[in-house]
Amino acid sequence: MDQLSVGDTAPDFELPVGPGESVRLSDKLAHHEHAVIAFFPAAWSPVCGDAVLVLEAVADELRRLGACIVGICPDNFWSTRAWAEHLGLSFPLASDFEPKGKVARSYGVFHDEGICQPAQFIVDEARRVEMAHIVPLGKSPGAHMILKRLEELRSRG
Amino acid sequence: MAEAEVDVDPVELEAEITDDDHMRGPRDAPLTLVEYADYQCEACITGFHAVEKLMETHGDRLLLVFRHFPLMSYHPMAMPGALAADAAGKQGRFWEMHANIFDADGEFDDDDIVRWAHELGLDVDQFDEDRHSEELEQEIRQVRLDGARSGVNGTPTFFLNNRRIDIPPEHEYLAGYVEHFLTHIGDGDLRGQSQARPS
Repeated sequence: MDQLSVGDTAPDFELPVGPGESVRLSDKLAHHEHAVIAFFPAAWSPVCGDAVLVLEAVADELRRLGACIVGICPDNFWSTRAWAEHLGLSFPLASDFEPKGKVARSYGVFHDEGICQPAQFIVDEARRVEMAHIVPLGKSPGAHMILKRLEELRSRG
Repeated sequence: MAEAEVDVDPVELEAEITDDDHMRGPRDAPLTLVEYADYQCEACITGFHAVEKLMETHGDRLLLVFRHFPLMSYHPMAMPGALAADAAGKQGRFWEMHANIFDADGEFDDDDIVRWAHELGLDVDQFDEDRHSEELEQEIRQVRLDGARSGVNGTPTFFLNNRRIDIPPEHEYLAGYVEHFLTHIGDGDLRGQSQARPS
């Protein structure tokens, strides 16, 4: 599966965030103009910790710009939930564990080593991809691409 | 010192340096190091000691700019620490408070902040008023947001002459980059091999 690019339609998904709890992209988009979908290769890793905390640091601004945030990590939900609670995240961190990396594969960002690429997508209400930012393993993508694209989309009205 | 193999990420600092910034070193230095950091982040504490050492070894050629990037969801004292440093800065003692906070290795509370203010000879009533002001907290949040817009991707994040450098926050790496930049500042050859941090 090729990596999703701008203009592609992003697959919908429903993933667990804890026992008996899940997050569905289309449900989120029913209430927001855009969704920021952020893939984190491995819970508890230092670089992913950097990446997720930078996203959390700008979470209020992303919401002000009309976006919801969904984090995705290919670890089981006990691990992703504990990690999210440990870091005090305000957005859901979904577990893409069973089948392993199913959503990451459908977005073209699953990695051979059983983890996913650090990747960020912005999709609109119709799940059209408005931004795709994928960085090498070991790098944190920051939040600058997301902020700039959402600001552009907002200014465009 | 051997020249380091460097990877200068093509991410450029957009948040311009102004007189409102916390700066140390000669204003006309050939190199400017901008650091975004959080007072309770372990890597930032390592980075603090690395930067202090760097200022000893290269301080005559380096302007240091420190900016706050508090990760409040994870570090409850990061914002109070940033507020305390900036409030001390209003009385000309930013760098002393900054050093006290980092020297505490992430373990400090409000009592420590007040004690440091007394030890620094601050007007503590004014210091308390300043560090509890909503305006100052908004300024710090804006610095953080502008940093994120510029490509801050973790704490600490360093920009050397406006280019983000993704390195472990240790003196040998920082000094290697500084040496490389000093060598190549005129020829624009600021790229090299990757030194991505471990994931």
